[in-house]
Amino acid sequence: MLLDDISASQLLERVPEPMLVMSSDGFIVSANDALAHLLETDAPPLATNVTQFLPETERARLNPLAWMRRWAETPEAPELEYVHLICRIARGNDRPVRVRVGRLLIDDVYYLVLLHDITQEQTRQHQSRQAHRLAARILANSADAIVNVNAEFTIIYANPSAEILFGYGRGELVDKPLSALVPDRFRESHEIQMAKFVKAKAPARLMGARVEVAVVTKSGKEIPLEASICKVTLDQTLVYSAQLRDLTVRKAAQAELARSTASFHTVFDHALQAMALISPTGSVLEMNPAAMDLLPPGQQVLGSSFSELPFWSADPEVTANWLRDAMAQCQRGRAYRSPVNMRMPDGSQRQLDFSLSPIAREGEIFAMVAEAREMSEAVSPGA
Amino acid sequence: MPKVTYVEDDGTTHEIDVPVGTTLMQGAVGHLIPGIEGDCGGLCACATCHVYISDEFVPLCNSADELESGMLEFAFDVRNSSRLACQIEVSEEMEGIVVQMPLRQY
Repeated sequence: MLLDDISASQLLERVPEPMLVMSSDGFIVSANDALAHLLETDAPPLATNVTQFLPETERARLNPLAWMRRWAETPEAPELEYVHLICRIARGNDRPVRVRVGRLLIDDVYYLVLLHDITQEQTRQHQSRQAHRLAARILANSADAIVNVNAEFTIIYANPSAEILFGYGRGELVDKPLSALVPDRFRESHEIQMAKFVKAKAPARLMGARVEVAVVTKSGKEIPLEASICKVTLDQTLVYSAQLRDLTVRKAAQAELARSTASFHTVFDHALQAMALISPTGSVLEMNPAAMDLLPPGQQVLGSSFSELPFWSADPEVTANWLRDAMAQCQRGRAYRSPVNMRMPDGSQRQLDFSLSPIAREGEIFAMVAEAREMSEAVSPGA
Repeated sequence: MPKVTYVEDDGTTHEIDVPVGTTLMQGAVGHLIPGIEGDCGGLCACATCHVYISDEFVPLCNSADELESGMLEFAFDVRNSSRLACQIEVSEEMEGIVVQMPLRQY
């Protein structure tokens, strides 16, 4: 069949996409069933002006005929790819449509308009944008510093926490090499480590767990960080993402804790009087060497019940009962103090001033302290 | 670099140093600021970087050309202060400019 034998209306009818021919003032002179289907009308809306299919809000600000003319004259106008018209369908619902326009010259000027329903496309786009927004907000508000670098180790993104941590202004870190954040003395080893990580097969996994690294801020100050790095491949483009946490405060706290613990042990371990720290339930948490001297050598004490320890005693059973009573009194919140006689393995007698004190915080006993001081002999200064 | 304050519809503000010679849209998109999309990448072809420029900063911005004014017809909640951020190039004089974003770009 020759093309000449096919009428224009037959062609229009066979096109599966909604399509219409309109006069230059916007009146529909011809349209196919696909258009009726899109608009949810029984028949193609002939002799109707296309502006009637725009919601009133759109009609007020948009001149669709001017845009149709522009798109007919410039079929490759860039906005055709991005903008859409809102089309009001029969039940008053709106539907987004993408439009293509061709110009026909038949005695007068007419426009051939193709419409494409983009509802689903828009829904997908909306969902993807929502997901992107959520991710962007999480990144922007993350307390951890996040720095993304490309395969060349150039920074492509740094979140606000990263900019604050490294002392840079907004946007300043982007396009800087990652090495700008690494102290000079670690630069070489960092490069080796990164090269190893690049070669690792797994596409997205932690570079070990969190590791401690030192970085340098814009002002040249070195700070300790905890870092984890993951490798992400997006459309064959590699991105390395580092999550960094400032360890300065934690390090200072650890150092202070270590100093404090060392001070405690200096006093505790070298005290002449016997001392033990006991849990509220009666098990030994700490015991100093002076107290260990009152027990058989090699005796396991940590975690053991204090009242059941085999202290050197003339009568171990009596001592155990007596200790249990003392412990019960202390657990009720009352300090216990009494002289006690010990019989040492060499047969010597020692008289000790024993005390057991409850230590409470906010009305609750969290520990007990046992102490024993020598009473048997006076010790002269310098002896 | 001039400091630009982007204000989301809910009042959330983002202060960004935007390099001179780039556009207000690039400053926002480059920092993943929600509220400005910039779908077409700055071709003035999508109207998804619609913003409001307060009166005091209007004289510092170039004026909208015919294409931009036309594209604004597709934007949501257009006002007298409406502009497309991709068409406003940042200059030193814009230090402190406040860019308000609409409720949505579509």
